[in-house]
Order: sequence, then C-alpha cells, then structure tokens
Amino acid sequence: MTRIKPAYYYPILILSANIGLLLPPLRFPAAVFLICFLPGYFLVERTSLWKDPLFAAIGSVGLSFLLAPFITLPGCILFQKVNSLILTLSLDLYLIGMLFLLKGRERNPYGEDHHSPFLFPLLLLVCGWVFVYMDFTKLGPYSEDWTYLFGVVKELSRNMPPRDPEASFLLLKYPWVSYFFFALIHRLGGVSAWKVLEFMPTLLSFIFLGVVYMILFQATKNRMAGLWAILFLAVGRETEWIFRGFLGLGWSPGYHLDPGWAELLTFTGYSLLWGWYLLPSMIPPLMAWFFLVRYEQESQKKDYWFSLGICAASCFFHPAYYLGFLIGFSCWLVFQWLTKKFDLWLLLFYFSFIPYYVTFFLYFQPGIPSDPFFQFFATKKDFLDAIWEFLRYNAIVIPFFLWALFVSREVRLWLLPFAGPFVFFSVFGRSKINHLSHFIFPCLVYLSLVSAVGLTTLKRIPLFFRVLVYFLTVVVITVPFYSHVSHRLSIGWEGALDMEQRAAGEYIRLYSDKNSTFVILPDSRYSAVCVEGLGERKIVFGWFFHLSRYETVDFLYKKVYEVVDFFVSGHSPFRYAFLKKNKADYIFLGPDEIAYMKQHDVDVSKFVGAYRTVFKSPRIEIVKVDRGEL
Amino acid sequence: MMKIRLPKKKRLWIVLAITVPVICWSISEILPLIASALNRQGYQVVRREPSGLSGILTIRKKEALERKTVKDIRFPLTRTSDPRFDHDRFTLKLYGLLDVERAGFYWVGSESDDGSWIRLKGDKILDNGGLHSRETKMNLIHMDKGLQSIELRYENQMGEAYLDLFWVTPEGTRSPLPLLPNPWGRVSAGLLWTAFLFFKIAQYWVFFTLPLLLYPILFPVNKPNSNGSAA
Repeated sequence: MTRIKPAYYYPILILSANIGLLLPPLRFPAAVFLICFLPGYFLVERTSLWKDPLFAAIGSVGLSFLLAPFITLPGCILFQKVNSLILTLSLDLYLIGMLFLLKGRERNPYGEDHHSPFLFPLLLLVCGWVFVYMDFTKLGPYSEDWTYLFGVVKELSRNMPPRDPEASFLLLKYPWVSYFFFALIHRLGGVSAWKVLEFMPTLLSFIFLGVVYMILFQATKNRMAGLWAILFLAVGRETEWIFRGFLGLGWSPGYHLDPGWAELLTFTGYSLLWGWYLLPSMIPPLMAWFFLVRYEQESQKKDYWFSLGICAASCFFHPAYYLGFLIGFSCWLVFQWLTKKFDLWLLLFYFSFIPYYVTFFLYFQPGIPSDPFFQFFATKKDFLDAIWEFLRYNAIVIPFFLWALFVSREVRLWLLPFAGPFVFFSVFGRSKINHLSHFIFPCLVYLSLVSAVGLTTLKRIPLFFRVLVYFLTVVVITVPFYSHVSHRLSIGWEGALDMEQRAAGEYIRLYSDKNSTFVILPDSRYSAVCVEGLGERKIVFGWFFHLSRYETVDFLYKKVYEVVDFFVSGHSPFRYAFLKKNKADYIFLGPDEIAYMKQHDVDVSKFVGAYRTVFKSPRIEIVKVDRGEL
Repeated sequence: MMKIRLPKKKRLWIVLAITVPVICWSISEILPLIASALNRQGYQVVRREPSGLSGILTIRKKEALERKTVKDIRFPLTRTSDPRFDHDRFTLKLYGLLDVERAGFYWVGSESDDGSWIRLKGDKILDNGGLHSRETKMNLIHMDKGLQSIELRYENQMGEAYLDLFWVTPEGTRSPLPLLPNPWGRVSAGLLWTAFLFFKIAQYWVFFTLPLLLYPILFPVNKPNSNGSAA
C-alpha cells in the first residue's frame, strides 16, 4: 500500500498543478485542476462539507467555479491586468493559506454513500457526450449571443478592470464573473478562448447535473429521482411529436417549428451543449438552494453560511436567475409562515440579503430596463397559446409533476415554493424578464426536479405498468432528441464556420496587431465570428440587445446609426472622423457589410479604394486604415 | 492517522492512466516530425532523379476493383489525354509535395469532373466533391515556407473525366499547382493520420481516465467503525 501523510498530500497537489502548468502537454489539464478543482476541494476538506465522495467531488468543482474568480480578482485589479503569473500566484497563495488551516488535521473521511451506483456512469455518459459532441462539431461558442459574450471573455483575459469590452465604447457593466472564470482558464491554460468555451459545457454540465441530483437527494432521500431529473435535463422533454401523431399530422419525431437557438437551449438538452451560456448563471442559485435545504434539515450552521455566501456572490452572476431564486425563497418563507414554522436565521438571511442584493444590483446597473417587469396575458388566445407552447415541450412530465405534488410531502415542502411561481409566471404572462433563457429555463429545471420525484413515486401502480410508463417516457423524450441531433450532425452544422472565415480569422491572428480594432456592421454575426471569435481582436460593435440594460436605447441607436452611416455614407471627412474616434485599424467587409452597402447603392469598389486591401477572398475583404492619414 | 491508500491491484491501471496519454501525446508530436523528414528525403530523391507524379488508380468495374500504380501523371487529366484513365468509374489517389518559397495566403483550387478533394499536411483544404460536370473550386489558405505535403483524391463516377489543379500565389499569379512527386507521400500521410489518431487517444484518455484515476485518491472512502470513528 502506498501511504501519503496529509502533511505532504496537500502540498503535492499544489506542486503537481504548478509543475503541470510548466509542461506544454499538461498545461491545460493542470490549469483546469488548479482553477476548477483545488480551491473548492481544499475548502471541502477543511470544512468537511460532504461525507459522500461523489457529492464532495461535485461540490469541489462547483465551489471552485464560484471561488476561483474571487481569489484571483484582487491581484488582477492590483496590477490592472490578467496574466498567468498573477493568476498562478493568487491561486497558490490561497491554497497555501488553506494549507495552514488544514495543518494538523486528519483527512476528511468519505464514509457515507448516498448516491445511486448509476450516478457516476450517468454523469460520465452525459458529460462525455457533451465533450465528444463539442469536439466533433467544433461548435464552440457559436450562438446569437456569443459575439457579445466572447468579447467579454477576451477582454477579461486581458485587462482588469475591463477597459475595452465587447463594444469597445461602453463600460463593461455586465455581471461578468462566470466569464472571468472562462478567461482564467483561457489565460492560464494556454488554449484559445474558442476552445475554452468548447470545453466549458462539459465541466459545467457536471456541476449542474450533480447539484440537481444532490438537491433531490437532500430533499427526498430518494436515490433514483435525481437520475430521472438528469435524464430530463440532458435529453429534454419534447412531446410535440406525439400530439402531432395523434392529430394525424404524422409521427415524425423532429422539431417541427425549426426552433432557434434560444428555444433549443431552453427546451432541450442543448442547454448542456451550449452550457457555457446558460449553466453558469443557474449553478449559483441551485447551490445556494442545496445548502439552504440541508441547513433546514440538518441545522448545521456551516450550510447556512455557505448558502448566504453563495447568495452574496450571486450579484456578480446573472441577476435574472437570482431574481427567480428570491421569488422561490420568498414563497418558501411564506409557506413556512403558513405552517407556523419560524426560523429566525432564515428571516435574518432574507432581510440581510435583500438590501445587499438590491443595492449592489442598482449600483452596478443604473439603466434598469424601462419595459414592464411582467405582464399577464390579456387575451384568452395568448393564454391558450402559452399553454400549448408549454405542453408542446413538457407535456410528458406534467402528469408526473402533478402526481408528485399530490403524493410527496417533500416536494410540497421543499420544491413547490420554487417550481410553483416559475410555472405560474411562464404560463400566465410574458415580459422581457420572462426571456426564454432567463425565466423559462429555470422554470423547466424546477419542473424537471418535481417531475423526476413524481416518476419515482409510482409505487401504487403494478410493476408491469410502472415499467411501461418508464419505457414510454424514455422513448417519447429520446426519439426527438436523437432525431434532431443526427440531423444536425448529418448536415455538418452548415453555416457554423466556412473555409473563408477560417482563412480570414487566420490572417487576422497572424498579421494584425493584438490590440487592433476592426469595424464591422452591427449585428453581423459572420464578421464577428472572423474578427472576435477566430481572430481574437476587438470590434467596433454597434448594437447588442443586452446592452440596453446598461445604456439608454437612444444612446445605442445613436451608436448603431453612426456605424451604419460609416458604411453607407459617401462623406469622407465623416468616415475619417469615425475611424479616428473609434481608433479603428481595419475595416472588415464580409457578406453582410457588402450586401448592406449594395442595398444602399454604395459603390463598394470606390469605398474600398480609399484604403489599402490586405486580405481578399470571394466574400471577405479586409482593408487597413492608415492611421497617419487620420 | 488516516493515510491515503492506493490499492495494489490498481497500480497497473494508474501507471497506464498516466503513461498512455504521455506516450500517445509524444507520438502525436514525433510522427509529424518524421513525416516532415520523410518529405524532405523524398524531395532530395526527386531532385537527384527527377520523375513524374505517380498515384494509385482504382478502376471500378462491374465485377471487381482493379488497383494499380500509374506513373508520370500530367495535368489537366482527361480520358482522352491519358488512355490509362479512359474508364467510366475510377478513383485516383495521389501524394505530392509543394515547395513553398514564401509564407503567405495562397489560393489552392481544382477544376474537376466529378469530385476532387485536397488535403494539406493532413487537413482538408478543398472539397470539390460530388457528381458534377467540370466545376472549379478554390480556397484561401495560409502556407508556411518550406515543403508541404499534399494529398489529392479524385473520382470519376460517369462520363467525361477532367482534373486540373492550380494555385494563386500571394503576388496574385495563377499557375498550375507545381506538384512534385513524393516517393514517401503515402507513408508520410499515414504518419500524419496516425499522429492525429494518437492525439485524440491522448485527449480522450485524459478526459475519461484521469477523473477515474484521481477520484479514489482525492476522495478515499473510509467506512466508519461501529463506534463511529473513521477507519
């Protein structure tokens, strides 16, 4: 037997991570180990948060996700930049500090076994699937929002505080901590930001699905419920094809309305495939919730403090998700009050957190959107449409949801306060805050949790019928998922990236200065992929709907008009003034820009003639701006 | 005092878990270097004893496949220009070398009837595939200075056959692709493919086995004794 004394064990972990960073083939795994595992692991060991080894592994990665950005942030702010040395030193200092706290302590005994034996293989299967899929398709951060968020990741891996965010002209006010986490891996791991965002869904799926399992186990002590929840979240709950079949429209299992990316993300297992976008914001509230449930059940104060701590960190993550958590938490307190159970600590939690959250939220986000917070449907048609839409994607789990509410006390006590309001708001109204990925996604997470419990409490039904129900449920949800994924794979994700984009991206990366800025047409995803995604350069980006949260719409429109005018205006002094003001080095003319100019009767060759062409392919032309002339 | 225990039976597994990715990654780094050396060697051979391009021609007949090596292939290739290719259905695989004098962006293209595909150093850079009449396709790619290995696949599925290759240099000059024969081309392509395979094995091995290996070390299970203390 090999024995390592705890006194050597922890330093060996730190040392191996640091040595790994120096060895090129191990750099990325070592960076992942150092950033995504060790911070949380040391904390778990110190506080003995879990006795179950797999829960401890999930918790270590989850807590690292929350901790690592805050550990490295002070050093980066102090030196006003983000580089490997600062990041490594910050993390090492934290780990060495933890070493002193672990001094003289025995290692944490992981003597309890709460999880199902199928949990680990299932997590491996799902995360492996995400990993293989992302590796095979090279999809990376290709989605509507990514141009904006990719810019955030890039800037956070360069400067701290961020100076040139996605728009090059706005102060970065986005709650960016999860993107800072990606930036850390990008900077320390030595791989492109695109690759990092390809890898992150795997890691975040592990945390997300693991936490979901832990919540269900903690709430119901049922080992199987979490497995069903994982299945619902990894595969989706698509049921429309069954309705269509019964209505005589054919039994084709594909998605019939050609859902866009947001719908795919929200309603299906794609939420894991593009997990870098949705999951980071969902993980903190889920973790806070888990600790809160455990505190209520086991009355250990450390759970309470961890829950409160995660809530405190939430302000740096996406606020919309936390708003949902607070709604659920408020309902929970009301439920408790109705059953005449008062927990002073919970009230203290609530009333200390609300002012903190609101203050923080208001301080960092002065431009609260002017559109209504929530609007109930005014007409019967709208309401019926919403019901139909909800059923299309979730009908298969609704009976189990209702059954769980009926038979399970734990569901009513722990899960309903969160799931109930979300289902209510998703069905009865809509608003900006009810955005698919902000509101409906958490709703479906809570819905899946409750439904999973419902499926595992069908004990009153004879075994044969029970197995039949399980079998039918699996068939109904997996067939459309398989059908859609195989279709996507067969068409090779056409439109994701083409050879010209790769060539242009390579040109930008090889031949342009690292700090150069490109002008592109607002909302041109094609151009942004080349410049920001593949080339990793900054862009003068006119408009992104998220920005309306932080700047007035008038201001943004003014900016958009300015960029658009640049492309269509024949007035040279205006163009020169624009380029000078935005410190632009290059103008990127992709298919969107050229089509737009032609649409506005602009002579593209004349436009290009004023600059020096440095790259030209059939659909892309990059021209260099001579800064001396400006 | 509690100790970390690495079970004896798992030692072989642990050794494998560590050595397999290291060896696979090393092979994936070394094989391209060997391929590059072979390409240089092939280039020297061709310079000493100039010869024409050669490739593997597979003729698809009704009864069976006929495979043979054809030498001195010239472009443009048609059924009439070279009687060896006067078949309705055939495929040609050819390995060559490009001596790139200046690093930069080059257009590499093919005009073919029916499909043609080009790989540069193992990466697909042109897909002019499908059943079609004479069709030109080209792509812009960045090439480093020096010898580059090129792999061409061409197929004729019916009727006329035509294949021509060209490039446009950074100076803007379009000319036939100056392919040199590569006596070691097949081996070199095989090495590159193997290197890619080994890299993927290392990558997937790390992803799937490292967590499995680390899990029992980082979270050793110690069942409590009957008196409640950890073993």
